[in-house]
Amino acid sequence: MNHMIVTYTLYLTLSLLLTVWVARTLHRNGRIFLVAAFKGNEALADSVNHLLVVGFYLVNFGFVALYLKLTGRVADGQGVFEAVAGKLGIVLLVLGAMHFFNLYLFNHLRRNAELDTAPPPVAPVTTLAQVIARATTPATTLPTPREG
Amino acid sequence: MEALFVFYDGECGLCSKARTHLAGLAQHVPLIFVPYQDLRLQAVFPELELLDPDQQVIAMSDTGDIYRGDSAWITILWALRDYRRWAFLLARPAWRHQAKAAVHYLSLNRRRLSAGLGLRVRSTFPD
Repeated sequence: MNHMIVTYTLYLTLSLLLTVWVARTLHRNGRIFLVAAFKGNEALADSVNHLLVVGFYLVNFGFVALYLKLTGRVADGQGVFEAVAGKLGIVLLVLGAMHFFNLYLFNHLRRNAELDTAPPPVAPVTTLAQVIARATTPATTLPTPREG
Repeated sequence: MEALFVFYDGECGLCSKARTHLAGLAQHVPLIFVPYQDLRLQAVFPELELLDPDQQVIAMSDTGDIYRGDSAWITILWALRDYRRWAFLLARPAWRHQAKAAVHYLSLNRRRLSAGLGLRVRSTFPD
């Protein structure tokens, strides 16, 4: 029984610390992506950043809580380490997946914002000024229009 | 860019259909369609003839940049809100060649395709 309590305590402490660490990293470094995504609107970026971090905490704490229960019994010190390592490994993988999902989200928002202001992806074949200049030159030197 | 003029073949059913469809889509940059046969257009912009508008669609920005054929199509896609992504995709070297070939084929066969699909010009030069 004592070993079970130690396992749960270690699992909860480490999982919660890791979640807080990842969430704070996201909060700190995701801000710049969001500022770019919202075209320099820092107030909106900070608001979305905060909301995303709250969602991140909720999902991860929810998972950590649900995943708490051990199926087997922990009899000794070796068992404590093995059980905690097994649980923590899964928690880390879930945290990693969530982290990459958030990164994808940040980058997606930023790319969308860039697309809105991007110039046309192809260069013009000519300009109105060139066409008018061409029209006023004598017909013998008239160049044929370039193929697009 | 504040506006994109599209000079298309007003006597081609397929082109008129495309024009109606494109005009109904959400636009980043407003598209202004003018058939190249429009006499008013020929009066204000007689130099258009030099670009052979009967061969390939011509697009011109309000700043005077002129796009032709596949370049024009890519720029039209770029002007549409939900298709800007496609413009960047088609502008990549890997896709550009196919885009060019497809646009060339469509331009060359537009009258025949219109007849085959039963597309007629509904009204004469609505612009």
